Amino acid sequence: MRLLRDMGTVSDLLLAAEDEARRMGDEIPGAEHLVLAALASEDGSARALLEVDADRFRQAVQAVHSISLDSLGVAPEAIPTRSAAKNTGVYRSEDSVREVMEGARLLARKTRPRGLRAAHVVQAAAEREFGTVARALTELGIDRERLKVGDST
Amino acid sequence: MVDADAREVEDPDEAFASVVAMRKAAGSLERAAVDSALALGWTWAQIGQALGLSAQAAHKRLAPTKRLEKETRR
Repeated sequence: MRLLRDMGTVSDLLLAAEDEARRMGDEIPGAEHLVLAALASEDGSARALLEVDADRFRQAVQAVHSISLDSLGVAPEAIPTRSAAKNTGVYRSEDSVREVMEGARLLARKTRPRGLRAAHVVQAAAEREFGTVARALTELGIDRERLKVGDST
Repeated sequence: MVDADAREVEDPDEAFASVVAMRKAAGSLERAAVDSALALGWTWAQIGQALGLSAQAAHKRLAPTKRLEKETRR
């Protein structure tokens, strides 16, 4: 029963991450979109853990990209934003999505009560030292160490 | 703009973040250019040619009807 529930959670999160990616103008989802999906999920554990909502995290991701463009002398506001095409074939994502989801499932097995929760996705994503999620967390003033497994899940 | 000769990569983390941001910006700019070209009456063959793609490949990846209606502002 729990296994079936976990599979449903994984599927919901992956589809929501795909939608988040498209809205943000990315062709396929990455770990940051999976975190956004976790923050937007009905299970409020990710929001409780990060203490921010999906809108705030999305703004941080956008800020991270804007800062990087700006550092290259590219004015972020000069780049028009367009949502990406809907993928109608097999589910595609960056490798980071698969890695974070695997990490989240491992965390779900280690913690009590058992069962995959949105917070596990955030914790697994926060284990990544580099990349957009790490930078967005820094932008939000969130210490990745605080999110390590053990407590608030 | 970026002066490749003058710039050395001192911080790989910053450089990779820039690569990710540039990729994302390139995707958005590409889709905006397609929208503009279509509004000006360009064919998919012409768009594909400009992007180094076949007309079919350009249409499959970039046709506006395949995108979500909702767009977020940067």
